[in-house]
This record gives sequence, structure tokens and C-alpha cells, in this order.
Amino acid sequence: MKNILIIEDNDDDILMIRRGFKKGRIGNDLHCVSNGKEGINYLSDVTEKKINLILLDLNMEVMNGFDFLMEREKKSFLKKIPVVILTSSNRQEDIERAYQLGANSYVEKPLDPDKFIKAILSIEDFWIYLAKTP
Amino acid sequence: MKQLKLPLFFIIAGVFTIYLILISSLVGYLSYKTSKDSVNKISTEFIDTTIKYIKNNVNSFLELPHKINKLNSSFVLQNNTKLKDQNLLEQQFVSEIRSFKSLSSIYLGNTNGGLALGGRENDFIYTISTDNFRSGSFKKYSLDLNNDKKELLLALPNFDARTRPWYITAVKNNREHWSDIYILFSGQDMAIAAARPVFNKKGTLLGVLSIDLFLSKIQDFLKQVDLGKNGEVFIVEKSGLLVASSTEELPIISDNGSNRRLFANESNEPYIRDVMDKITLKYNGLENITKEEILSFKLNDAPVHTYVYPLKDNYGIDWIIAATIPDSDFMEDIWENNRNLIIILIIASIVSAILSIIGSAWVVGPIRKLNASIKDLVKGNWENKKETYFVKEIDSLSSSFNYMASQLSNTLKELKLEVGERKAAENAMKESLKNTLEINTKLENFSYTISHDLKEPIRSIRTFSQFISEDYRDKLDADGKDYLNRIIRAATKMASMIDDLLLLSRIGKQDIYFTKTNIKNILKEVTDTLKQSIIENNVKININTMPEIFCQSVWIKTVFQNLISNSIKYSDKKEPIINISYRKLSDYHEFSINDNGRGIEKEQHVKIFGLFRKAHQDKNFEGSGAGLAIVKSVIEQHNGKVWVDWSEPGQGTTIKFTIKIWNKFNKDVLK
Repeated sequence: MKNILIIEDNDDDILMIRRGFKKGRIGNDLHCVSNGKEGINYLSDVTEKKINLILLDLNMEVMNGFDFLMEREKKSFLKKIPVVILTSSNRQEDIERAYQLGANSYVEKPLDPDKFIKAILSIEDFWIYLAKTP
Repeated sequence: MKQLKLPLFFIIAGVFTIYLILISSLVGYLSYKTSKDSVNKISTEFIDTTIKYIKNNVNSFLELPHKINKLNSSFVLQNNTKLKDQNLLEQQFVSEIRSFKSLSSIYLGNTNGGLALGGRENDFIYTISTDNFRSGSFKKYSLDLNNDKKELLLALPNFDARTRPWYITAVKNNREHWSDIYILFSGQDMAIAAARPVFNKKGTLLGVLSIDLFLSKIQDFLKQVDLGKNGEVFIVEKSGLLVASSTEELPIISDNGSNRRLFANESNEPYIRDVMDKITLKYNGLENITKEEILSFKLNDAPVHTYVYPLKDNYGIDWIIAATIPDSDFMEDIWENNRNLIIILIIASIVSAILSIIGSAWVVGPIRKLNASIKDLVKGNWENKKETYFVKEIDSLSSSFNYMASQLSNTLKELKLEVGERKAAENAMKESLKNTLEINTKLENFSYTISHDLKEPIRSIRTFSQFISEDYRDKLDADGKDYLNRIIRAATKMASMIDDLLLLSRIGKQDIYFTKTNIKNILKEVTDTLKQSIIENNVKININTMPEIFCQSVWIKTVFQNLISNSIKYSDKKEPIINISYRKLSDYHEFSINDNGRGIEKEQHVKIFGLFRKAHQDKNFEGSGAGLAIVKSVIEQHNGKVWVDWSEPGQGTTIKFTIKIWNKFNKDVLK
């Protein structure tokens, strides 16, 4: 069982992501925060569980996804946790910027619910079962 | 490499001067050559004439004594008394001597050894006679003008004519003959005697008539012969003894107190010596000279011509005349001519050079002025200088230049005004473009944000409607399920409209790069994408020859995809056919997509390219209605047009579009 941190301000999307992971092979431990700032705080708190993967939205209040990535660049203990961008933006400049700031992959949120679920399962497939993470 | 640049002035003056020098040299050379060739001819001719003159004179000189001897012989043989009358003979001889100045003495020796003589010495006439006309006492008297004895000059005893060389020679030869050349008693001259024996009818010797010839007379003659400046002539016996020459040298040498004759190769005149050596060498001895001949050789490195002539008569003369003239005598004149010619040519060259300098100044001066004027014009300080020039072409050039300059300055003024206006217009345009771009960017950002933000709730609507239909399927009745489906469908349609809106807002913003694109490959990709619906609808697609064009390939692919999927979507036949064809126009690529579908009403032909417009208000036809709007936008981005070319309801539609042919010119336009 792996710990996944979801940084997302849209409750609907959190619900859809949870639904997706629920359909996965094993139940993962999902932890949710609603912006980058909270994410940093969560990850810096030693009492919290060790996180294996971060799902990061880009458009958020307080601290958006890019700012989170920039903070992450500065802290080596954060850099070893892979970050998957999960966003409704498909703008080329957003994609490029995210990778420049160290994102490990970039997934657009599909409009179609079935495809959305499929995307979540693909992320789980790759990052939880296939890829080795620290 | 730096190119050599010569002033025009140098070229004109230089070429002219070089030309002159060449001509001068050529003329000088030819003149020299011709004159050199003629030297031989002239010198030969000169020697020929001179020698003829010498020959004739010497011959007549030598002939005279024989003629007089003959006359005297007849005279003494007229009767016996005359031969015995010593006084008569003397009178006869003296009168002859007075007549013929070249003769020195005329005399007769009789068989008794007596002598009767009339002779000439420098400025007086004398007689010599022996007493009683026999051998014995010998007396010489000078005569006055009346032939009377004036003074006894000399008296010698024991003279016998019969012992004298002339007498002996005549007797020995038994006919008239020259004696050997002998030196006079005085030692100041040499003489030769023509001696003639006188016989009576019985053939008995009666005496010997003789005439003495002073060789100094020949020498005097030779001296006054014109042989050029340095020419010399001498006469020599075959023995090598000198007879006479044109020099002042006396051909007599004093040897151990007694006088003897001078050999030619002993002469103090180096010229006589040298020529003698050459002749001797040439003929291997004088005896071998048998005919007249002109020799050419060098004396002290100077070329000379020598005329060699053997002089012979019937009385024993066997001499050689050698006349020599150095070529330089003739060459000097020629050299002088050449010198004059060279001076004239040099003067002519200098004068011509000066003239050509002046002449080229006429040409070059105005060109320099013109050049300065052009430089002034370039700097902008032009003032119209009206000048006239001597050279017609230059004058014409100058006025053309003035005309051009005034035109140019007018044009320049107009141009400056126009440039000012244009700059203002350009600035205004730049400003407006900047504003437009700013507005565009704002609009783009706005539409992006709107679409993005709109998409979020739609996704939620769709997702949760789906979740309801999945999770609560059993609890919904038919109506509930239908409503839910309607919600999902409406949300889906709205999502697709938003996607198209997003797409439309980005046309021309992304992928602005024009690349060489093979349309055949693009169509292959499109038919691959649409493979499923093509198979499902049993569509036949015909594609004829497609070009390679410069375009934004991703967007052109979208165009074809939208048009082909439209044709498939609106087909109502069992065997839908789509024909895609291409032709090249002068400035455009033209593509045509023809189908046998249901066709479009005429009033819809323009409207369909508007946003969210559909030709068929039919729920069965899916799509946002933005497809053709996107096509239009992309085609317009490519400076082309799209239109319904032909359509009949129930028969089909042909849509055509053009793309401006990409080249360097419209590349800027497209940017």
C-alpha cells in the first residue's frame, strides 16, 4: 500500500480521483490538501506518513502548482518524491513550464468520465506498480 | 587583390606618347637599316667611278710618251739630216716639253753615244747636249722664253748614251719599251722612261728616242683625286715596290747612304702597309692578281672597301692600283642623317606628348569637374553650375548630368515628403497593430480562461451524471434514465463546443511554422483517423495526384479532417463517394472535396462557414457546428479562400479551397 498526496482545490475532482483509485487493484492511502502551501506543510511535517507520489493540480488559490514545484526544487527531501501534474489545462506553455520545474509527468484531466477513470488507473499502473519510487 | 587604378589623363597622354615613340623607333630603325644596306652600293659605285677616273688618267698619262715617241720617230726619219742636227732635235724636244706638262724630258741618244734633250725642271726649261752629238762632255743649259741658252747649269764628262738604262732597254727589246723605274740623280723623285729604238728602212739602228715621266706627277694626280675623307689609293709594282700613292710619302728610302725604292709594306703610312698585307694575303702574292676586284675587309676593326685593279700595257707596265675607302666615310653621312632624324623624332614626340597632354586635359578636366559635382551632389550640396566645354561629347555629358541632377533633386524633395508621410502612416499602423496585438492577446487569454473555467463544471456535470447512472441504475425509472441521458448529452455537446472555441482561438497562435508538407501523407493520416467511420459507412475515397506545399501542416490536416468527416457525416447514399482533387493555379494551390451526399441548400452556402452553424438541423448529426468556421479561419491564415463551389440537394456537394503559394515575398505577409 502506497501513500499518495493529492494537491487539489476542486472537491469534485478529488471525488473523481478517489473513485478512480477505488477501482484500482489495491486500496492506496490517499491524502488530500487544497493548495501548494498546505502540501508543503504536510510534507514537511515529520509526524505525517511518508508520501510515495504527489498528484498536483496547477490552478489553485494561495499557492498554485508552479509555485509548489519551485518550492520543491529548493528542498532535496521533496525532490525525491515524484510529482504527476493532473490538470484541465492543455496549454503548451503550461506543459513546458511544468516539466522545466521538475514535474515527472503531465496528465490532462479528460472531460469524459470513463476516460478520467482510465487516466487515474494508468497513473496507478505506472507510478505505483511499475515505476520504482523511493 | 588591390586593383591598379590609372588616371584617364595618364592613359590618354601615355598611350599617345607610347604610340609616337613606337612609330619613331620604327622609322629610325628602318631608316638606319635602309641606309646601311645602301652603303655597300654607294661605296661600290663611288669606288667604281673614282677608279675609272684614276685608270683613265693614269692610262693617258702613260700613253702620251708613246704617242710623242711615235711622232718624233716619224720626224727624225723624214730625212737623214734631221737625225744628225742636234740643235734641231733639241728645239723640237723643247717645244714638245713646253706643250705637255706631264713630261719631264724628251731626248734622243744616237749610236755614237751622243745626246739631245729637252726637259723641264720645276719652273724652267732646259736642254742637255753632248759635244758634237757624240759620247763625251755633257752640258745642261737653262733656257729663256725664246729658247735661247741662258745659263750653264751642269757639265759632266764622259757621258755615253749607249750605256744608259733606257738605251739598253730599247735595244734589248728591239722595240719601244718602258724602262725600269729609276731614282733621279737628285734622289727627290723617281722616273720611268719610254724608250723607242729608231731603225732605218734597212733595219739598222739609228738611235733611241726616249721620254722621261716623273712618277711624282702620278702621285700629284693621285693626291688630288677625291676618295672621300679618308680614302687612299696607291700603285704598286708586282714586285711590291711602290710606284705612287695619294699620300705625301715619297716612295724612296735612304738605305746606308744610298737611295733605293720603297716597298709598299715598308711604307710609313700604316694604311698602305695594312692594305698591302691584306691584298698579299688574299691573293697569295701580287702576281696572281689578274682581274679587277672589290674586296671588303676590316682595317683596325673598321670595315673598308678596297678596289684592286691590275694595270697593264703593251710596253711593259704591270702595276696594281689599290684604292681603299673606309665604309665610315659613307656611314658618317648616314649617321648624320640618322642623328638628324632622331632629333626630329624626339622633338616631334615631345611636341606630340605636350599636345596630347593638353588634349587629354580638355577631356579629363571636365570629367574631373563632373566627378567633383557628383560628389557634391552625393553630399547634398548641389548648385547648378552651367558650364560649356570644348569637347562636344563632354559638353553633352555635362548638360545631361545637369539635367539629371536637377531631376534628382526634385525627385529627392518629393521623396523626402513622401517618406515623411509614409513614416507617419507606418507609425500609426505600428501603433494600431500593437494595440490589435494587445487586444488579441487579451482576447485569447480571456477566451482561454472562459473555456477552461467553463470546462470544469461541465466535467463535473458529466461525471456525476455518469456516476448516478452507474451507481443508481437500479433506482431510476425510464424517465429518470432519459433525463439523465439528456443532461449527459447536453454537457457533452457543450464540452465539444468549448473545445472547438478553444481550438478556434488558437488558430495561427500555435504552430505558426510553415513546413514543406506532402498533402498525400496528410490525407493518409486523416483517413487513418477516420478509418472506423469510413468502414462503417462504406465510404469510397478517391484521391488524385497531390502536391507538396508549404503550409502549417497541423492546421491543414484539421481542414481536411473536418471537410472529409463532414462529407461522411452528411452522406445519405449506400455507397458514399468522396473525390479529392488538386490543381495548381498561378498563385494558389486549389483543392476540391466532392461528395455525393445530401447537398446543401443555396441559401446555406455562405452561412455554413459561420460559428456553430449547421446545414442540417438534425439531432442525428453530431458536432458543435464550429468545423467549417475552423476550416475558414485556417484557410484565411494561409491567405486563401474556401467556398461551396457546387451543391445540389440530394446529389452532392463540392467544396473548394485555395492556399496561397508560399514564396519569399508572401512569407513576410504570412508572418
